[in-house]
Amino acid sequence: MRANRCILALFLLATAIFLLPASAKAGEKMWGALLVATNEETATRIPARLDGFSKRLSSVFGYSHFRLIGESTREVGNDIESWFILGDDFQARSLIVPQEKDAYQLGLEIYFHKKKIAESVAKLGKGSPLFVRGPLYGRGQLILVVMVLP
Amino acid sequence: MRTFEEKAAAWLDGQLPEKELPALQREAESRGETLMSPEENARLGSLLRKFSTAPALTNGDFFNHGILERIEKESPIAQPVQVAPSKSWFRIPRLAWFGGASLATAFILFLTIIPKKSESHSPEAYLAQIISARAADPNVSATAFHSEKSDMTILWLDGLDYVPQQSPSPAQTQPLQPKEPAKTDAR
Repeated sequence: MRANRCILALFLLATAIFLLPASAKAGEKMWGALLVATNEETATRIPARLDGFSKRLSSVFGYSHFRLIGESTREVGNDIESWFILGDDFQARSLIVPQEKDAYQLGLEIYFHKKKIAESVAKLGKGSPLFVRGPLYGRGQLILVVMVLP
Repeated sequence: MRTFEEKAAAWLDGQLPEKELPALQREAESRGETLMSPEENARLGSLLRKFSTAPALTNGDFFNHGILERIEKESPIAQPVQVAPSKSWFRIPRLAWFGGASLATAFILFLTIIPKKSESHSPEAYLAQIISARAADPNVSATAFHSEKSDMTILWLDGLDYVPQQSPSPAQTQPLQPKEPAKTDAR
């Protein structure tokens, strides 16, 4: 009788341990933003979430300043989509699904003038943004950023 | 002129002339030797031929053992040979020290030379990997690009038309929020 209770307790413990990672992901969030990269002096700073990427963004894209023109924060989940819309010119749809420990799968569709022009699947870690180099916009370049918040 | 030995051999063989015998006896006396008569010589020869071989020993081992015992008693006591300690360089303590030193060296080399695992395996490291990228428009190219130097992953879209900046742009006046776009052909 006592042995049966022990076995039951172990089974419940193992189940709890097995379910723990899935439940821990429940409250996790993703963040996405549209930036305009320019070489014009602006009063705005790069978003705080991209502080560590300022110099690297300049190195890769060749622009000195990055201005936030829109952002979105949503929970991560199987049926939670995020849309990033810049009028009728540029739209992006993203879906982030938890995978193994601290890794997520991102599905991304890019629309230009309401027409799908590209799609991509990527693997993301927490706090690791994926950048999408969009069209030339105004006096700079449009950049889409998608990341899972740490 | 024959020598003394030749004359003595001729006498024993009975071939020496009688007239030379006195001279031979005188020379033998002067040498301190005694001449044996031919008869005595013949008797001695027959005795030697009769006992020319030694009788076989029936207890040879006992005889040899006795001789060996006597030799051991009469010879000085043999001192046990002291084996000099090995002068080999590879002795146990030294080998142990060298083993430890080798392990320490290997550990240091492992820490300094062997490349560490990429930091991307740690939770805080950058991990963004494009698994697939496909352009749906023939005029557009979608390229996955990872900058090793900057440690950034970019989906690089080329072939898009220039978008003039609207003043104010919709995104500025209306911050991006998750919402369903208007129904379009694209969907």
